[in-house]
Amino acid sequence: MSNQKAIEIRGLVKNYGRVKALRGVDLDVNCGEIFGFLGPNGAGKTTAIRCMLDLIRPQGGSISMLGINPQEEPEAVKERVGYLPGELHVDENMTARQVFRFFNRLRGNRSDWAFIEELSERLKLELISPIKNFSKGNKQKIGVVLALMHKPELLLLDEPTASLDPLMQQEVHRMLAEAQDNGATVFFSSHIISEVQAVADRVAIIREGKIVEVAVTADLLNRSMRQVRIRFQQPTEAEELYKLPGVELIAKDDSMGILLQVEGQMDVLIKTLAKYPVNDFETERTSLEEIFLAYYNGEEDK
Amino acid sequence: MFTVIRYSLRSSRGAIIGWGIGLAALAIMMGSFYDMMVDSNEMMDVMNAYAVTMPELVEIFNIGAMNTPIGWLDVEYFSFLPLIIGLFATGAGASLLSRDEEGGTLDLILAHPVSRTVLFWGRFLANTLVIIILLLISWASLLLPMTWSEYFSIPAFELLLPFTSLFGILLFFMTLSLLFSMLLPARRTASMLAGMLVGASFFITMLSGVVDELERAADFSPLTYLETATAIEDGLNLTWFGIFIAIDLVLVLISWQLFQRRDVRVGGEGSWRLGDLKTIFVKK
Repeated sequence: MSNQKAIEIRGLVKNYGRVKALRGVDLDVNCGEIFGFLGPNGAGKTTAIRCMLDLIRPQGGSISMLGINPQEEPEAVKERVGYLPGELHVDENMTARQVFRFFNRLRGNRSDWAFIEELSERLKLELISPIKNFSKGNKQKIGVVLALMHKPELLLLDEPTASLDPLMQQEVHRMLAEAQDNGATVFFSSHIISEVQAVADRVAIIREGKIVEVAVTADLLNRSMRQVRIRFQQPTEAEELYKLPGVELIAKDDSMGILLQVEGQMDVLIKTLAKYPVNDFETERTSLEEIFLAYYNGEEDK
Repeated sequence: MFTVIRYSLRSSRGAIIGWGIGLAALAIMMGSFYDMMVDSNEMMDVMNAYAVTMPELVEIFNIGAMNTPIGWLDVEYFSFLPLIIGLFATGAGASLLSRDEEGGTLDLILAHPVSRTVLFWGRFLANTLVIIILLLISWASLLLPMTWSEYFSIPAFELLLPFTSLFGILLFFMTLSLLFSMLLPARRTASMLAGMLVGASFFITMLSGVVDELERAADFSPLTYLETATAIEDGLNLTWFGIFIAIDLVLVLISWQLFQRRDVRVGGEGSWRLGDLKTIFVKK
């Protein structure tokens, strides 16, 4: 993964009248990574992506996409970016093939038609029926192909797997991983936390127009709370354990069992615990979902 | 640009065919009826009776001139054609970009490497071309009955002049409607407002000959400057045609600047954008 920035955003502000959609967003996305942009509906995910493509104009801040300012050279950015909107709308009287042909022409016929057919086949997309007969999921597949068909350097995907069945979701995840293997950067927004957890190298959490957390997905999970249940071989007073930094006693089952909450590394706890006769040791990691909810409940408001 | 024009024309195929057939039928019918009217003594008697009993009606519709091919067209064809095709022009102007924006497709198109300028002018040229095609269909359809008519005959080039005059005015309605669509919350609001102005212009111009109070209002009515019989008889007044083309150009340039600077909606109807007008004076 290179240190060069695919996306560099500083102090991005966007208001819709009195509504403050983005309130000073700072974000860096490295070239070659898959970056998850997590937040509930209305948090500002779509607004941020649309600013990156110059579809809407921010009131403040700066954006650099692959080293280019999209406000000054929007076409140069769009040339190198693949975009999947949150809600895909195309001319429904056209077939998927006609839609691909039209957008390929807008790109100067850059796409390899064999690749378009390969993507369509993998997504089981019907190319010759009018789109008006398509289900929501099939329309979403058109959007996925449109975003990927010209093998862009940067993919901006707004909820890419929305409306897709689990099998197709996995196929799209594979496609994103392949794009990454081929050197592309993938920036995708989602409110499906399991998806971000499964696919993203790094994740940003946006809350009410502000980024509240940016971290490597694995680190975020590692430094999160864990619950540790310990069962001793005999009645034990282990006060020493819950006086350790980052450790808190949640419950005592009886004189032989305790439930602890541990924040951060487990190393000190395990080393201290080695002095005691332990019968059983269970640990449960907080999911990204719980971390996300914690931000939204204000428990980790930064 | 070529791709944008091509696909815009492609999406207008239905409109060209539908409106083209209607306008052609109207022109052929009007051209064919002329012989019937000339041959019918009863019809001439009715006209003469109108002149005695309802002189206002004769004045409004210039019925007295109906016994010449030019006068016949002036009364029976060119008096109503601007209203009919004017409503098409307002619809086309309002739909130029707002239809795609409300439908959510503009978002995806502009996410591709096509500039707002290319999209705007490509669409505008395509719509202008559609209007020209419809006017040419009407013109050719009027020439058609001349091949079998005994009395209905006007030189082809001279017959083109009223359509040229009409083109400048239709372009005015289209660009006005386009400007409204850039400032008003919805395409249908823009189309309706521009359509009302077409209707108002039609009635003001038509009634100004008999209602003195409307004479001054008629000076501001675009259809007052439509040259039909006069264009055929005396040639096109290029000054007025040029003034209309210049106004059209100003309206379209303002719309272009507004489109350049506006936020593109994800879909649906928007809000009032009158405040956007001041942005065209601010350096981007």
